[in-house]
Amino acid sequence: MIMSRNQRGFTLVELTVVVLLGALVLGAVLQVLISNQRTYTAQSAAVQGQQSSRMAVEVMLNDLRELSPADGDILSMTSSSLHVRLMRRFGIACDVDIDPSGSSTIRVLDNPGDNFAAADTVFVFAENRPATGSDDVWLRARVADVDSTVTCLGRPALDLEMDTTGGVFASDSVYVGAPIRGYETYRYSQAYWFTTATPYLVRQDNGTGTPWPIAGPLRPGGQGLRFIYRDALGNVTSTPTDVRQIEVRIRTGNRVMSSTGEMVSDSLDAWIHTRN
Amino acid sequence: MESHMDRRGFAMPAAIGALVIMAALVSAGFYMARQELRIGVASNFANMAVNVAQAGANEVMANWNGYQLGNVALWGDTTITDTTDVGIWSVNITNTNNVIYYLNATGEITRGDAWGGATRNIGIVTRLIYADINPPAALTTRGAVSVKGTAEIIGTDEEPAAWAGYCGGTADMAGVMTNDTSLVTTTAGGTIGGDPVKEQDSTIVDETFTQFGDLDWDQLTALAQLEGKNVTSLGTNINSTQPALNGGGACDETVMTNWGDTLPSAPCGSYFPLIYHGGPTLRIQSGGIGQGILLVDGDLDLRGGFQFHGIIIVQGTFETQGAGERIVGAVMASNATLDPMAYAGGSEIQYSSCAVRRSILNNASLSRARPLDRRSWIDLSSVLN
Repeated sequence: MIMSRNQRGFTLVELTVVVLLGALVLGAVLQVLISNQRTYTAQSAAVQGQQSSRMAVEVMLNDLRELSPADGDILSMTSSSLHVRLMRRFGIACDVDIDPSGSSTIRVLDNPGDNFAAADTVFVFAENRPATGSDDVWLRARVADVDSTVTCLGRPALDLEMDTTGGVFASDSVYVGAPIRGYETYRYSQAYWFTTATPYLVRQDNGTGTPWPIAGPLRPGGQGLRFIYRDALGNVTSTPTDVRQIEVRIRTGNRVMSSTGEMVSDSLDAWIHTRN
Repeated sequence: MESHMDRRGFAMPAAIGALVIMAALVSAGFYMARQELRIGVASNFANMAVNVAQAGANEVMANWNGYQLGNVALWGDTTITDTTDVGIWSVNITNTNNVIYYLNATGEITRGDAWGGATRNIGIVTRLIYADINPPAALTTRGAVSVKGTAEIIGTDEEPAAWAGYCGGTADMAGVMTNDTSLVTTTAGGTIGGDPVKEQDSTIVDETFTQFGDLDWDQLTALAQLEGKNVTSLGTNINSTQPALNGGGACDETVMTNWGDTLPSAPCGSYFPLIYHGGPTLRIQSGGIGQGILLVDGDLDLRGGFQFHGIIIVQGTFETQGAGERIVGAVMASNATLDPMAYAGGSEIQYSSCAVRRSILNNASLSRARPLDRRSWIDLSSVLN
């Protein structure tokens, strides 16, 4: 027989104490868990904000530092948007056949990045007098057609058949060795993307195309993105050709609230000095 | 005694469970923080790599070595590499037309151990800024010129045979350009050739021989002295200039009579010095070879088989005699006093745009690479593929 003393149940008092103590412990644990969860969520949102702001700055740093504002690469600029020409193609002429009044062809080595296409607008470097740099000029021309079946110096090459309308090559000399740049135009701004309620940093091809999100979400109310344009002396300027520095201010915003009840947000400022 | 086994509660498992959950949360937080750190470090290193590449390109441009880089054949390339505190840069230099050089600079971060290794690639299109010395003929001078014996003055552009691939294109020039072609005569077997053979230019004045673009005669001679090639101290007669090598077999540019070697593959083949002699008379004889730019503040008399590739600028008279002198490039003799000048024996002045160009572009003092004023900088990582 088993001793009855060892089989007796809990008394009501014992159960009550256990339940109370258990409730207290569970409550404390739950409180910790909830607090942790909130902190984790807020922290995740903060990390996402940091990553977004860093991504935004990284993208714009890479894109904007190659601008040549003095050559008109800034097409329009406001404190909340920037419309620019970004150089995306590069080639070096290995053969030049310029006829100012007729057809002109520039053959470029088919290096990676030389993917010029018909209808591209390009800049062609005209060296003119080799002994001086004062008469150097970049000519803006249009590629009428591209022949990719040619070679140059034993390597694959592209023949860029140029549109000489307007006598673009009439008064300047382009030589073998001339660099050629092709570009795209983009507009950066803060915009709502599809139906989402939060704004993103977006980029639009040709300045008017579909806005594609690059980074976000940003703070709503137009506070997420701000451009400040400065000249070579660091003074704020509104003249696109005078711009030498672009200050980009990114403010991210997440609908997640922090423990103090505020929107989780982050900020990052970057000063981009144009290299060209 | 009561059994404690049967009195055990759930506090311990609950506490352990809570600890596990908290540990998981902390670990996740730590993992995210570490990932964030890695992203931050990677971003930092990526930008640093751009700066290292830029530093390399700047270094190459600041220390542009016309002797070495001017010797890179058309469409040929060479690579210069160096290390910094944080990484390695490597700059590949391509000669596209002897004036435009394309720099492809790579920066790689070596700091950061396992987190290092970020690499970025930029391009910089540079152009040479150089002295505008542009002789319009094989011989540009003033006063009476007499070509006799078997001497030849030829304006037909010639590229030295051993220099194939270093230049591109030819453009024939006049044989002799003077202020009065009626004073230019040939006798016996003396020959003048070119397109045209003789050309008259009444605008030839003192400045034609002393002003070269932004550089004047005094600046040119000062640069020659800075190069250590003021050979006035050698006296009136200089015999048999020859390339000189140091103990390691490299070109010894400190030797006053080392005026380079016309064979590009030779150790002194890329050495194009700027040489100055203060006059009043310089006589070069007993053979010898050289290349570059020879500046003479007085009269120059060549004899005895001297061979020179480049430009000779003389403020006084210029004469040749004896057999075998051969100047490939161009000669400019001011002869302000209009003394009669004779070219005799078997001497030859052969115009060569290639020799003219290389003597300037390959000279460390007269040429510098600078980024194009506009659109020189290329972020190759953003070029579409």
